Amino acid sequence: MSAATAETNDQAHEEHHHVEPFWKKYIFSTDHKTIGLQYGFTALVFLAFGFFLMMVMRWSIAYPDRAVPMLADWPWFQAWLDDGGKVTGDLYNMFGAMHGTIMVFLGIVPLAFGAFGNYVTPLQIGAPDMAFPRLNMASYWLYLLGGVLMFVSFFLPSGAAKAGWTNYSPLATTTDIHYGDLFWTGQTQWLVAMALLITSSLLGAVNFICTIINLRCRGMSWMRLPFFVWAMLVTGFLLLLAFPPLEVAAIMQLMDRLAGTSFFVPTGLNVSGMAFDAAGGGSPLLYQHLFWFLAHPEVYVLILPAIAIVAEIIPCNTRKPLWGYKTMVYAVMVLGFLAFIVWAHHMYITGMGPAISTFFQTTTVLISVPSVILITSLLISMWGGSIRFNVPMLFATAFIPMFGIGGLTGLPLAFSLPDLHLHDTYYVIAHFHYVVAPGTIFGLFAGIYHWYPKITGRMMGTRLGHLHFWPSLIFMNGIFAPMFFQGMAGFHRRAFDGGKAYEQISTQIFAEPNTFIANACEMLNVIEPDAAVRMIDLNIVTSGSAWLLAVFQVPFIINLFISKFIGKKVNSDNPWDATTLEWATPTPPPHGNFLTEPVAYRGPYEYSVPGEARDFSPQFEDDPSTIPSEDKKDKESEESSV
Amino acid sequence: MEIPHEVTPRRDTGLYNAKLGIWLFLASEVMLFGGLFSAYVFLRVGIQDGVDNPWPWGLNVHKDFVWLGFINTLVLIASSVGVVFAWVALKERNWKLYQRYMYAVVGCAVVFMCLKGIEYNSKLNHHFGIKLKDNSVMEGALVNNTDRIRFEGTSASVSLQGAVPVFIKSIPKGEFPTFKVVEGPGSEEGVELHSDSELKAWFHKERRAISGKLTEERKRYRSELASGVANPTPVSVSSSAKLTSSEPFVLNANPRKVVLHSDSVVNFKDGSKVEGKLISDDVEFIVHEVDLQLVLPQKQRESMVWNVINDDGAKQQFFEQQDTEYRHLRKYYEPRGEVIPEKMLRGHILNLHDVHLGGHHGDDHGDDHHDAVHKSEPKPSAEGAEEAGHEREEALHGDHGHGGEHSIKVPREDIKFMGNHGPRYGNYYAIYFTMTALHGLHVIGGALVLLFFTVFGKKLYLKNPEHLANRVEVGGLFWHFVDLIWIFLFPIMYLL
Repeated sequence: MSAATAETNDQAHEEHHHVEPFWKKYIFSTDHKTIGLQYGFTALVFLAFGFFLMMVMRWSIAYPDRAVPMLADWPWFQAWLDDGGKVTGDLYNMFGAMHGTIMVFLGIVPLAFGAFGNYVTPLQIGAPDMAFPRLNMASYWLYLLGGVLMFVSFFLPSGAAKAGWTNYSPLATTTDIHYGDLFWTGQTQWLVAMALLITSSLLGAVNFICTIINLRCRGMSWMRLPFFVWAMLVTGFLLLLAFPPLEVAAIMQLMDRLAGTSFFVPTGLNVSGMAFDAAGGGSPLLYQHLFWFLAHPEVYVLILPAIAIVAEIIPCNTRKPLWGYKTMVYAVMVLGFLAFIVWAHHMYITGMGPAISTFFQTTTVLISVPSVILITSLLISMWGGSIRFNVPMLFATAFIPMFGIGGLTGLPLAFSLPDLHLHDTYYVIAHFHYVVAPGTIFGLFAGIYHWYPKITGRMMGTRLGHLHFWPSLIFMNGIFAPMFFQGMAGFHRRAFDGGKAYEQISTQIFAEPNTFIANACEMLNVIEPDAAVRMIDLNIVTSGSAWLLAVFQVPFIINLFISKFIGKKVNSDNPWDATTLEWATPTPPPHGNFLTEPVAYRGPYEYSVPGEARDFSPQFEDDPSTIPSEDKKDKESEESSV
Repeated sequence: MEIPHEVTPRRDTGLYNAKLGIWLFLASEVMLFGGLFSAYVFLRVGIQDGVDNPWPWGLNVHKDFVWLGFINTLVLIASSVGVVFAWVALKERNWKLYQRYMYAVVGCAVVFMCLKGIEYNSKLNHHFGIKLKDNSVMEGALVNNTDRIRFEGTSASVSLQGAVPVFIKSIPKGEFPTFKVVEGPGSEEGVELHSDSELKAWFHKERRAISGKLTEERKRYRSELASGVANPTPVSVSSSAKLTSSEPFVLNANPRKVVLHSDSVVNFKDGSKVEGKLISDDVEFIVHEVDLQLVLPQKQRESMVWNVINDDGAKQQFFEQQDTEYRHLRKYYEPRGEVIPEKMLRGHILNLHDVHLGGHHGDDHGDDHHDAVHKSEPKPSAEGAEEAGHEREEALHGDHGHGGEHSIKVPREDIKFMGNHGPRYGNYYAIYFTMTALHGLHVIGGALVLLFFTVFGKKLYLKNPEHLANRVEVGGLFWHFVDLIWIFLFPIMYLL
């Protein structure tokens, strides 16, 4: 066996000296760092695209009577705008569905898990690469293929999917069913693309978990793993176990559309006045169960990487250890477990029955405990530190209250009674966008600013960074805070014309005493007679903030690209004086990452250790007294075997 | 650069990377098939009695194919064992033996897929069911694709927006007529289209022209609006076109793509329309079984199905079998002091029976074939139905495939739902086809990988046999999993 190892060693050396051609190095690369960057840039493009869809929708909500500016002459829009150039219901539905899909599955998950996970995880555990580099490449290309399919579906005669990002059956089954070629309709392509994205995520998840379990360097015991790695491990398990049921749902819905089965088609369904030609007997509720069995854990897939990035940045910039590291590790594991048994809180109004609702209310309230532990630990980590408010730290600091607002406003939704009122209103939109937009996306921005010097060898510009951060913070709140009020006043999320119907019915509702809406409005000090009008006027605040938010992403984009060339050069491989292993590599890290075999000598967050010369004691710096005797033995036996 | 633990296990976890990876992958596969099995339970338990299609009994559905499924189980188990032997051979560095075992394993997979193919073929091509408006169901075989609406077209109207019109798919291959554009928004009136690809090209061209026109018109409309005209002329761009054919063309329209049809016109779901003359609209069908599970017991004798079948012998045969079964059930329940449960009364034991058209009920299947030409005339008395000698010529309507069996004509307006025993036919068939096909894809994928290790493994074997052994072990773990899924699928789909 030792001979075999030696042989592979030789071969590895030969490969190492071989100069890779451009396409192999940057396009079909198996290097986790290149793949991470590929994921990152693709995801940023999709995020921008999803943002664009949202801006069109927001125009239609704020100014339902006016033509969309600039876009009306674009050829693609001809089929979807009305004669006056206004957004049609079909276009709004399509953009709404695709905004959600693109942001979640093509934007944030790939950026958080694919990009940061890929780039940082192997570095932090001292591994030369992922456990299966070629699988890693395959998973990126599958993701790209899925993304391209999603994008291409806009240009089909039927347009892209229109049945909401949740794609509930039977609406999704019957949308565009009159097309001759059902395969090339947006609704079907959504399912095909999802199947590709799911496969990509599954391969990615297997790779991550394997890497973290099997490729940790010497000395990197479980409780020495940086919190980021723990979060990636839990995220990997969430993806691994939660995505297959969605794949089942996608396969079954695909069968419903293409093979005419009726998995989700109930008996006696009528579509536009005609009996739907299917055997019937299916269950729309089944689709929702399968969908949310993924989609709730997916929420934690969205948020955990951001929490983890913030957990890396806060200790580094407060020069203090992460408070309650072990507690956080256990909390994240509990969170990962509970994430699988809360899904039906999205389905209170489907009529599952009070017993099931009660169960899911309980678990939902339970899951807030580990979430609060995580956030509180981050908050306490800042207590008494001498904080460096550099740009990543600004984003990380803003993350905490933003995620806090998102999380706390979720509590009323956890209970079925208030949920009956708030379901499908702007309140829900505001709640999960607070978690995902100023929450996760701020975390991801923080990560980009934090690891940029490792990736490029230059710092991102601070001024542009501030110009990016402060307006973003303000306008994020400008978008989502008004939605809470609108939602509590009963404003429905899918009103494409800015709530004309709402205006008509709400005057009666406001007049009724003791309704939820009336009470909420009284509490918010918006009382009859113009309450509904004022609620609708808030649309303009929201939409204006959204467009301004877009404007203030420009400094970030400029910063991202020009800093590569004119940014301040880093003076060492560890410019932030951080402690984790990724800062032990050369800048930027070469293929294979570490020049010498890395060893972890201590825990991940040993900042300001009393008695040490500096205020940080990196994991990778040798202090012989702390090497456990077991590791020494390990080292000796490995040496002898080679 | 070398990835650690690619071949040798890590000391603290005891696993090499690929082995850990395959176990994780299998965990996700468990969730995948677990989701499908849960869906099976959810759908089956969620059936509303008397409303949804009853869940058929696996043995009833598969009949002679149950033993094929059983053989398939054995085949997969054998191949699962084979892959272990192959791995052992590799561990003993016996390349020849390894290859032999692996070929056997892949051979088993081929056998499995062939048997599966036979079974699929029977369900898709030889079994058909028709559900009538009163929810009575006839099982049997369709004659010559007569579920299609057979039509003779002379002209077609299409909308030049959206997707390519569906009606062109209903024209049989090789019989595409020459269409001439007689009315159209474009400048190309009088153009002739000789094939479906020409039609498609013409369609796309016209569609682009129309969308260009629409853009112009809308620009005008918006500028008028902007300049303060109170009521600008509305945008109107004609987008319909009419095509005529020089000679009548055959149209076999899939009823699923048709909204409405009459003697002179077929309206397709996408808005295209073909005018002409209806040739035939009746569905020709050979009845083997009648299923009245969704018909209330007191209404069963007046069910539409008996009018459609129009054969008192068959009707009598059905109810005699029902009586026999009912007596059996009484014999079972009465001594126990119980009544027959409602579920049993509505179930397949009482309400699903073979019927043989053309007399000789109660005889064996084989006997029908001798007297196939004869069909009993409807008689008021049930007694006399057995020996009727009247002939009905149309009963055999040029059908060779089912030579010797009576076909009946089912009026299309009586039909609520029809289809072959494909995934469309009901939720049992849907989940059966989805799960077995997905399992089949796993078998194919696994077999290809194992075949790759066998055919192209020599190079790695010479370089590092342990690495190849690891690969085979990992492939074998997947193979066992595929086998295990089938061991669950077989009883659930074939026996329960």
